[in-house]
Amino acid sequence: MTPNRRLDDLSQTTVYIPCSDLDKEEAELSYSPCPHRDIPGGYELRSKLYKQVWVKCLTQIQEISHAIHSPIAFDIVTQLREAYANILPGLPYTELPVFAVSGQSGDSPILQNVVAQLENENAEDDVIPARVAHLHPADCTNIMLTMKCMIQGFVSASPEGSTKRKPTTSLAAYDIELLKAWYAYSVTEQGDMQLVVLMHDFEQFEPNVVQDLFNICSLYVPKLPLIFVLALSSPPEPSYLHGVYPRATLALLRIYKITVTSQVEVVEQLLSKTFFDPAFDPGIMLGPVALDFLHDYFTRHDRSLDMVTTIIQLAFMKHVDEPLTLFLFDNNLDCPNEKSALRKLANPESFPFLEYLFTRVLSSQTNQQQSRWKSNRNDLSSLLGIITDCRVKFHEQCQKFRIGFGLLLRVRKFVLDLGYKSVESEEDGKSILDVMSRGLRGRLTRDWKYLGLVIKKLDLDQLCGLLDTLEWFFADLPDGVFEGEEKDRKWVERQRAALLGLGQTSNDRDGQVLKTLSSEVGEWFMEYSTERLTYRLDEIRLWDIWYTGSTPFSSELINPAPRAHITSALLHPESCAAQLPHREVAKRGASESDEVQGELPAVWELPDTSILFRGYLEAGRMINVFDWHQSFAAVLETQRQRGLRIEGQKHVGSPSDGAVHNLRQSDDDEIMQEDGEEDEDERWGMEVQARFIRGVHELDFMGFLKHTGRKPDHVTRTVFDTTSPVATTSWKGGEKQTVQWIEDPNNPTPSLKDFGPTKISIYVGNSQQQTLLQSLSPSTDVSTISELEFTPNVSIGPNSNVYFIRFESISFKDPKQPQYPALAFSAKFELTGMTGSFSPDVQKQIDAASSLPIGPTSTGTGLSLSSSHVSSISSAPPKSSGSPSSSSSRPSGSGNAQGNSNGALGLAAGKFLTGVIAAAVGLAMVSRKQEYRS
Amino acid sequence: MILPGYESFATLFTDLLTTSPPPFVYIHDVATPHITSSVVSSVLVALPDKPPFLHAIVNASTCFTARLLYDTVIRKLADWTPTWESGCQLWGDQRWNENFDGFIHGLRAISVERSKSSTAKTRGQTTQSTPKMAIVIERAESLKEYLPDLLVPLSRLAESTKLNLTVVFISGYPWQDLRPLVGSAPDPLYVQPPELSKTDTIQLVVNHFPQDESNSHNPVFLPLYHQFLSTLYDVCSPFTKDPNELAYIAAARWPGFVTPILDEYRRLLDEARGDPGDEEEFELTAPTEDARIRLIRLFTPSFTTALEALYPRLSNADEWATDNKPQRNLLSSGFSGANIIDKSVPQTPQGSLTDVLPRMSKFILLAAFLASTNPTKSDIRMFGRAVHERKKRKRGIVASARGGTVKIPQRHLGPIIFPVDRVLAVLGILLEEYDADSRPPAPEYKLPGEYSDMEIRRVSTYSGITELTAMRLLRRVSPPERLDGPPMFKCAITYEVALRVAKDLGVPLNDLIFEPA
Repeated sequence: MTPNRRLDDLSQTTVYIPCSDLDKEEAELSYSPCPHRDIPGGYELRSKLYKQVWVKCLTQIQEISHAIHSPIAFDIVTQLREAYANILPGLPYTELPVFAVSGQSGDSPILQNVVAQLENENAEDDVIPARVAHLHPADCTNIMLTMKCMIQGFVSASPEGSTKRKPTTSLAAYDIELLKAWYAYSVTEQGDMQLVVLMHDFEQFEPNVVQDLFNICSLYVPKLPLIFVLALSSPPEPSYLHGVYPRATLALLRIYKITVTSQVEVVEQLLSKTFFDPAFDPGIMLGPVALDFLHDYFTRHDRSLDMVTTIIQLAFMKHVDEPLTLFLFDNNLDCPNEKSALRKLANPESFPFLEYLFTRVLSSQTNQQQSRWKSNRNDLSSLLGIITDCRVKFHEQCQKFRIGFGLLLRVRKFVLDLGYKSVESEEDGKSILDVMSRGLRGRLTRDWKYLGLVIKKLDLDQLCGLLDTLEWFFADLPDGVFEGEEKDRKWVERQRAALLGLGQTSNDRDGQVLKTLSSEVGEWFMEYSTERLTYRLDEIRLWDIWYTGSTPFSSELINPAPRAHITSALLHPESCAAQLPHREVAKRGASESDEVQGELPAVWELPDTSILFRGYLEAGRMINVFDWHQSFAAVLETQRQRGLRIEGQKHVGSPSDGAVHNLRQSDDDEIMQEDGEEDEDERWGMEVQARFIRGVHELDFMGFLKHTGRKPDHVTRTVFDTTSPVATTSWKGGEKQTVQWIEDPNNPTPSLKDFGPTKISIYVGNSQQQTLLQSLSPSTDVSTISELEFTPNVSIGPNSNVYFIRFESISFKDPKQPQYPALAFSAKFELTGMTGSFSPDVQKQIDAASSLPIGPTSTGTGLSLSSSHVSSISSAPPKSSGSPSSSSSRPSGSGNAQGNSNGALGLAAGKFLTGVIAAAVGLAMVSRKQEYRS
Repeated sequence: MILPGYESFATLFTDLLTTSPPPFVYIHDVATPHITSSVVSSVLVALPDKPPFLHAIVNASTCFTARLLYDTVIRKLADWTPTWESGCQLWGDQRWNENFDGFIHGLRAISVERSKSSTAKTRGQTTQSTPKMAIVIERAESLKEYLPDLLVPLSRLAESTKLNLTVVFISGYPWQDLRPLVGSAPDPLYVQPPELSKTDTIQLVVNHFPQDESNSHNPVFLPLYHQFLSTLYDVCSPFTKDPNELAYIAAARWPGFVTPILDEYRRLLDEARGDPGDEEEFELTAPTEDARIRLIRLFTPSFTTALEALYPRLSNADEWATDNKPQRNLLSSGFSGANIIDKSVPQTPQGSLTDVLPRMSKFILLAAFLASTNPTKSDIRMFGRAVHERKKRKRGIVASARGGTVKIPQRHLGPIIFPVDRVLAVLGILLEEYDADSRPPAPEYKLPGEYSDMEIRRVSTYSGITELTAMRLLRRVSPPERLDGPPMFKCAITYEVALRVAKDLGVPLNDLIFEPA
């Protein structure tokens, strides 16, 4: 945390700005993921422990990966050194040696290793030393810079590079002659050397530049022994080089393709040597769930070692959230000795922790022990004694498991090498990671039984080989462990001696002796495995201190879906924010009847941005900002009315109510106290406008809006793949609901005025035929009124989502087909709590809707939907609007993802239709899915 | 030494330079400009010393800035080698490389310097000889790319310097392609070297035969090498007649070709050793006519494989030679089968795309291939999940027999550009249809399709796309700095690769392509 952070420094790619405006109160409190059962400063203590464990593991992991990579790097270096020796005789010209190392992204450990070996000063005498120049795509945007980088890379790194040159009358810095002069000099001074050019992220280089580079360099070989090493992230097949570079360039090169061992094997080795090796104690044992996640993520998303280490690290970090992990290594709790630790525990602040510890320990005691414990509750030291016992037991068991597992793996490998199938034959090719996870779950019985059976069938040589393998296995065990396995080791030795004796004398008639021997070995193996592998680590008391077990691994940490989360947070702020300000108001208002609790909030209860987002979803491709503002103002008006009502009640009922006021609410109070009505309205209007602007800017900031210069007062939507609540509005039959409408800004003719008095009714059906179910209003002038309250009749049909509202102008005719009245439709919505049913005719009409959807297909008919201008039916029912995920919301989202934003489905539907189509696609997906499943 | 086939050209060129050198010569050689260059340089070297004839041969592809060109020409004309110890100092005490004027002054300075030194030598005589100069620019087409402004000044260099100077351009492209549209470049003296005949080509390749006493390049084999090359020429000439290419293929095939003879020789030698006294009789000799015919017959099929692998450089000559060693004792075993390759040589394993990529990336790649191959409008028909949509699927367009424009499948027209949303949508369908069973269980997703829907919005999907773009398996078409609108991509894998990926994932690719093969 440096005080002078240079925010205007262009060379800094990232600047860390610490969060400084935390409440002081909050900053003083120490953080704890589970404060109700933690000791003070527990989290910091555990973080220390975590660091200790992680550093140990990371060192181990790095050592292993280094051990795996060194021989590969050595191979590459050997080839590099021979690049100019052993050239095939008879070639017409010297080619430029190029080593294409595939599967190397970023700073690959292998190439680092190669460079380290090449630049090693203490190499043997007979090896030609090498100089390495690094080229990075960002520095090499044109040929001049590339040449300069390469030449300077060699020249400036060498001690002779300091010779002064006059910039104008000596060779240019990008002239390869300069390199030639330097090389000639260096060779006379130091003898032969090789010039290795390492090109990082080769795919990112501009092919034209690289072509020129190769062209120039090839003219100077072999006078300048240049060797190129390309770090390719693409696979060797299909070859990137051959796909991008022309033959003329390829003809200059002698390309060696180098494929590095598959990452799968590396990860298998890494895990087995970190967590399943008797010689290494990782401190925290990885559980099967974390292991499974690692395996899945590795095969499915990211095959890099970095990702594997990150996952292990996260699992560790998450593990120390548990307060009990304070006892990971010892019982001292960061105190010098156990006595002071006891004092720390006796501190009243530690009581919640202690309570929890007691409960945990007691729950695993026998009744007798429990009673003894309860009588002697203050005996903390014996409690810590129990923890120590558990720790010893866990580590013992863990070690036993590792040995047993190691042996099983050896035998498995031996048997597989003999050509036997693995036990999981149907899932052949499953990796060791899978076996590991099954082992931790205690589900290896089938494996060792199968292996035992195979052992019993082995012939003399094979059995000899197996016993050799077993003997090596025991010999490889670390000292401390070795003694524990003395008995079994000796047994194996005896068997082997017996077998050798059998082989030499060959007096085994009918192979009876061999048969007995092999079945003995088989039995021993099964017994050995049973003893070590059937016991699960999470059966040990307090296992969760040392073992991550089956704690779920949060994949959201590694692989989140930010866009979906933002959208869902906007749609359902109640699940993200601790509390919604207006929700509180509603709760207080509805205190007499607790109906509101547990239900979803109504639109007016939401924060401003969410209210705007609702409007956003209901709009078409373009949003008229003025209309948006109007609908926002309408919702705020409801909010204000409710607020006033509740405030009024509060003032009458409990004037001294000390509940938290929110800012706006207190604004409202002030407004109420204002005398002049007009003044108040004006102030309210200003507030609405300000809140609207703020909300719109928030959406704009999150990238939901795109400004368009084409149409005044309009912005373009950028997100289409979210279900509009319009299509999934769910109303309860028999309760009062509100339907609202506004003018369609995209389709101003005919206007609401033209429509005039209109019949409003609930209908079902398709684009050609519709059936009236309930008349809501015989005549409403839609140009003067913008909403209508109604109560759906429960008997008009069953629970279904096929209902829509039809607007039929009484006087105005459809301009295209004057014989019909002008019509407009709402999106389909759901009615619940219904008791009626559809008649067969009606059902037929509804069924036909899937082939004759209400939508673009019907534009030619009398029921022209394109003339719809009573466009958006937004629902503002008092209690049940915006159901979060009614059955079609998700799939329709994915259906729309195929289409809307990219034209794949080519939806040209207006504002009015989006919801309908979304619902139709959603339904289609549901039915298809069912078919697929069945 | 003048290379075979270029005798007349060399004579012509020598005569031109020695009598009255034209100011600007353009040598246009479509097939083998590199060989012409070497002929020109050997002619220049062989020119008589009196009067002094200075020359500079410059490869234009190395001179990507004007300064480099000036430096190189002056350095070579003055025969000056900059050394590291002297701070890489250039010739002369002035700066010649600042601009074209400086360059002209530099040329004059060289001329003056040279005439001084030559007069000093011939002080007794009164005639002062101004040196002649030739500046040869190889791969002159690169000038058009790097230094288009210098084309006209260079072609009029003799005029501007007022020196006895010739500028020679050598290029595989005709002068009309290089000549700037504006500006007055003089017409050059246009020279086209003759096309190489078969005999000349073979002779050129034979020149690369490294004659040493070691086994496979023993001078004894020269006649056999001629015959070998003649057959090789017949096989390769429809595709390439470039002597360098032929020499390359020959270098890769020859060691294998002579191995049976050497094997036979060794066998005889071993037999002879068992029989003392006969040793001297077994010197390495050229094989009999019968053996030659057999060899050629056995090896001719492998010439084609060599051409197919080596001409596009799918493999390098060294590796190919090791991978295609013939079986041991081919001649004595009486083998006459088609495949002479020794199978015991382990083939180098190749990590294929399907082994390297994670599962999700493979799906993304496949989705990108589909998005690049299928017309945008066909998506709902191909991937729509409603029952009715399936029936409407139309498979391909059958070309009518009665003429008209034949619709070429998109696969042959190159990939279509698609926005990232489209590939994600296709990916969603692919995941839902072909990946649903292999995913780890996620009980939190209850609705059908919800799981796939979430999967395609995850960070790893986007990073997968970025990674594939970094590998250039996808190409980003829209510039990365443009924030407006979705990024546009196109797929860069072939149909064959896509098929392999699809097979690996268990996706019936042909059912998903709008116009399958």
